Amino acid sequence: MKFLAYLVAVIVLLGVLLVNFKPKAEMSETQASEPPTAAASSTARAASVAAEPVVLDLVIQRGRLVTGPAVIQVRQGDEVVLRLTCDTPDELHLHGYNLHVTLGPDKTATLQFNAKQTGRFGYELHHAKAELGALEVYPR
Amino acid sequence: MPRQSWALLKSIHARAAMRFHRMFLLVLLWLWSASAAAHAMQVPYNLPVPLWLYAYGATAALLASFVVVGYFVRGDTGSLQSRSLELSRGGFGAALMRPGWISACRVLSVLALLLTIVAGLAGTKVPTRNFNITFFWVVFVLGFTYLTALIGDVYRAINPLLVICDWLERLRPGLLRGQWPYPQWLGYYPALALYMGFIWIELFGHTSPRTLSLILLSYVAINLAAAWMLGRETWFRQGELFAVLLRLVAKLSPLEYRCAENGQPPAMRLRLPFVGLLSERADHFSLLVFVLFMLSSTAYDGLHETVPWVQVFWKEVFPVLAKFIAAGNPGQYLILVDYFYYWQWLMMLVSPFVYLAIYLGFVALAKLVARTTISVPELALQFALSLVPIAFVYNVTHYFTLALAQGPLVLSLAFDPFGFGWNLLGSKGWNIQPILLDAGLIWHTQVALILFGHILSVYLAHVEALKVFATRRQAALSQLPMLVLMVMLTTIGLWILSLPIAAGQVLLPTGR
Repeated sequence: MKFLAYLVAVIVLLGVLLVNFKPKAEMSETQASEPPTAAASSTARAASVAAEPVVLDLVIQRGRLVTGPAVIQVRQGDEVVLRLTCDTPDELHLHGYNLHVTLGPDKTATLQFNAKQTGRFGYELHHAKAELGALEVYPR
Repeated sequence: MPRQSWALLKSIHARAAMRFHRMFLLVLLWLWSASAAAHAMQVPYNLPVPLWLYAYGATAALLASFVVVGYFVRGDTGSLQSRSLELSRGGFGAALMRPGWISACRVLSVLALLLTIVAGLAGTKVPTRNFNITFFWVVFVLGFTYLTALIGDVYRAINPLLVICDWLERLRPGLLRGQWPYPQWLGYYPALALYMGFIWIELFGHTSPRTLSLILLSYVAINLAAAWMLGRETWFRQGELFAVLLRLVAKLSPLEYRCAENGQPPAMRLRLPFVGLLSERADHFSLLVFVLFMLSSTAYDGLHETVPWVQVFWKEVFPVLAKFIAAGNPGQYLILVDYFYYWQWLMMLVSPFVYLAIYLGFVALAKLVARTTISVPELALQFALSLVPIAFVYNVTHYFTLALAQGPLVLSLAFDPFGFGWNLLGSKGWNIQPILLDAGLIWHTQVALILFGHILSVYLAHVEALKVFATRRQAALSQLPMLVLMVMLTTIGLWILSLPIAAGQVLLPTGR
């Protein structure tokens, strides 16, 4: 009996604390538009409204990313458009979303998707076997 | 110092800093491409836990601990350990314990090991398409460990290595009785050494299907040789890594088994969950180090690819090394990249001993506060197993998303274990998707699990203290330092979950 009373006390305590700690600001529109860290915000700013897609240009040379952010940070539900240029024929694979796109020297390949799934997903070149960077999708 | 030379010094310093910065980038780039070479196990898709949730977790751990203390300070707490229920007398329990069923599981277990090894040797080289990588790293190492926490030490009965030993002994009776008696001082150190090797392979080995098979073959050979030398009974209790690890984890489970011994039939008992950790104390110092390595290896795994940790080497250790090693050599940093790995490995091996020093410090404090005559090593062993819940939840929080994402794929892999494109039972059309959870759900689950393990550990340590010390007052006092220790361990665990991940941030520093 005493054990149960204490168990309930602990659960209530943890619940009350959680409500207290949870930032209320996170829910508001203005806050939600900012990515959680400013690290890649200069190049990969998440769209404040989902309607406007996040467009990024990535240039790959000799199996390495030379232009564009290594970490793309967006909010869940954002429309993401990656325009990819690569100096050799290759294939880009975005993990988790399991998206593949063929890259070639003479054209700009486009990878467009809706960032529905939250998490941190690496993307790599299949032939060069090089990991280029990561897509971080934060919850709204 | 004259102003001019001061300015000169500053500019030299700034230039050196810039050169260092560029070097740092180059090295990171190099590391990045090297580490991408072979990804045996996929990286979990986890985002760092947000700061507020980390702050909540730490505060909650502290406050909840005081509630647990309050529970023990006054009044009767009763004995929870003694309540148990025999399940093997009849019905479903008895059916499960039938020898035929157990024998079938044992044969299956050996077949699974065999398939894992053969698939790696004969099958595709692509890790994601070979059965053995997913089956060993995800299904066995993660899945089976978590299952063991629920259903108890099944591994003891179906350990494929033990089954092979049984078969060998049937051919040559007395073969594995041991050439020499198992030395007392050796304790669980063989299991600890194997554990360290295992963690090294997991974090730095980049196993391909083929190397994994070779490693497993060597593991079988090592264990058979050791069982022959030191006797199978003691070896499979103290030497074989998974036997030791899973026996500890199984103490969390509400189910307990007794193997068929001395003519007695095997038995199954239902007990309250987690009380298994109270039924026995660590019987050797090496087991304490083993438990601490369970903690430190997971903490280390979480830490070793984060930004702050990587920077410790490049900002603190590297400049010191640069003065002594290959100084003046233009390719210096490429030489020192190797040292980055040596340093990573060293830290991994040293980590349990750092935890040990901290743990012993707090135990000594507990002895001081409780004014007991019991020695520090004695007390250290007494409370060792109460750390198992914290260690276990650390592990679950780090890997459960990986188990969910990769685990389901084993179903289709099992029907095409070699990656030859077989289509048994139409398994190609199943289209099994990885289970990906929402980041918010993952964060909350991680913090909740860590809090649960923490409260459990604090609780178990208190019950243990009531057994060890003569008075309730002594027990309560002794637990104050232990409580600080556990809040510390939990906060470290939460902190690591909240750290940004370094890999992939190659180009970021250029903007600054």
